Amino acid sequence: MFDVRPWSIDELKKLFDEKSMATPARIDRKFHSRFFEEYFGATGLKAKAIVVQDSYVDRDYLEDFAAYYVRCFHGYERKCTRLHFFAVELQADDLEKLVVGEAAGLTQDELQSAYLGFIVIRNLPQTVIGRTCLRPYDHDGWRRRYPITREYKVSLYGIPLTIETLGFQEQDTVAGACATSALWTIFQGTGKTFQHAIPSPVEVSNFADHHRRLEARLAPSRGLSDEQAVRAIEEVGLVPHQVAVPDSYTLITTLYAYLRGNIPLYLGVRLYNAVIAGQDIDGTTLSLFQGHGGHAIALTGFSLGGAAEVPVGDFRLRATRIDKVYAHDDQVGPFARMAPKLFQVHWPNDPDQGLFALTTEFPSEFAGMAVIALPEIMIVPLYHKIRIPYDFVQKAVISFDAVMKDALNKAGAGYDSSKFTWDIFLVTGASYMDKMRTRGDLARAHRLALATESLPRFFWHASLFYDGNAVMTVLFDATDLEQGDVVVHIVEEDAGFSAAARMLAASPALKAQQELAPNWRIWNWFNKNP
Amino acid sequence: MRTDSNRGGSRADGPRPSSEHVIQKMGDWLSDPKSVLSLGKVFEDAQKLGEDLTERARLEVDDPLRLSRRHVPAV
Repeated sequence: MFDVRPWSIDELKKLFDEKSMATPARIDRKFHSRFFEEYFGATGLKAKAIVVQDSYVDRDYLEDFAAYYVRCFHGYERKCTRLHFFAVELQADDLEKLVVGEAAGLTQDELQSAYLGFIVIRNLPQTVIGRTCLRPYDHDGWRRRYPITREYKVSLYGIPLTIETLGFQEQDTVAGACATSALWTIFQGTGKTFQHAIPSPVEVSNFADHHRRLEARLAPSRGLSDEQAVRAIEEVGLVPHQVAVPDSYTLITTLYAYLRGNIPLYLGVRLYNAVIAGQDIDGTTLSLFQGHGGHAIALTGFSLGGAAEVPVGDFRLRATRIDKVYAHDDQVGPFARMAPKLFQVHWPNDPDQGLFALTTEFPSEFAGMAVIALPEIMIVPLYHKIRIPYDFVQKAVISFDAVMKDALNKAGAGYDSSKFTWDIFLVTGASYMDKMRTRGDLARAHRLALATESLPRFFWHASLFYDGNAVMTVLFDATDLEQGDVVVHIVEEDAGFSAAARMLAASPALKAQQELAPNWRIWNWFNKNP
Repeated sequence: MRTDSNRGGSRADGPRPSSEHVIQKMGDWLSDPKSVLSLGKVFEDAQKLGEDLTERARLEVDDPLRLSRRHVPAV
């Protein structure tokens, strides 16, 4: 009655073949097959069994079906197949016993803890990978972070299971494009964070249709422009905040700040084929050329794998320890790895040039070449009340940090400037208060004061550490205006540092400075709270 | 509201200097008029540093990266 198979990549490919209209040759050529081989394999999630759930009605595919496929002359199948993956060997008999509530070779709790997630197979000729919810790799001592995952509830023949992840699906070139898939993934996250309706892929494409290029048609889709992506974000009631990505520093610090606040980001890139030797790229025509054109992905996690922060001047930010970012790339898979790099391009007739790009797991169709992604634009989908952007807070913190360190050094206060590190990210007032109320190392009276303080719904959390020990946390009201006071609270954890900050804030030299400077808000808070 | 856990002072033997030491040194330094003069310059320089680092994240049409892309042939 139940179709349970042992895991192997060949079995998975066979299922893609059996349950869709795609040919074995096409399935074999799909990079997803290689991606899943590693993802479920011995170095990944260590899958042991696949449960096949036929005649599955997938809401997202059904919307696409109703919008397009149902009117085709060919009779496409409206139902899908869902494959469930488990990190435990499973027999059909055990599953049957669990379904009817009888004692089996494993308990329901054991089944849940071995559950790795599911892949929906669409019965289509090419883009067969529908809604996919897979457990991310383990955090490896909190090196890997996936802040935007959420709980998906699953019913396996009535057995309730859950999976903590963020949804993924392959680009369906009829109902959407890569940008549609990226936006669909982003809305899976923001829908929970900001409580908006989560649209299906075809609904995302319809949103973007308002800004369609004249020469383009909605279905079949050939891709969305950046303007259309912006429009789609506005249609779900969010505000698109656009950021240029000229360098690695901007990319990693910005994505860290927003991802920690449970906001996935949209990244528009241009893909190039390149012959790479270490950090060097030969700039001759045969060694560096465009391939696949524009592409869009959803940024969904990062790896803090760097040994130490990379200082910019004397300023150290925790986010600079990011050595990889994870992206839902519809042409590769969920949580696909990308590494930001500064390449040196050796042009034939021009001086060498630095080129910031991300390595990808995207396959090149040319032997000996890799596909690199040159970031063009990052779009952050924000709740309308989040008005203060990350760069405003960073600017305030950098200049406060520089003044404090310079004064402490010149005064011979005994701090080593290279040991100060900042950690800046967006948080909700509720999650921050929940975290602080249980911090046993803070005095009870202070925890009570924080819990009863009136705080904004969103704020920027800028923590300063000295040699790993907390010094202070500045809370910027993310819903304020840039002209406002912005700093609503500072948690002080180093009495000497705070006293020095108060003495500096009260000095005539700083008081005489322009009051609109972003870091003035921090000094002003110390002045107002003597 | 000021929330001070007062943990800094208790860590005088830890990795950071004692609060008494920091307060003493900062007080001495700020009592020198030359220090106050230099502080104004430090404040201005710090402001510039903050702007330099963050302004590049603002949308620009013709940043160096886009120039480099124009060199790259499309096939």
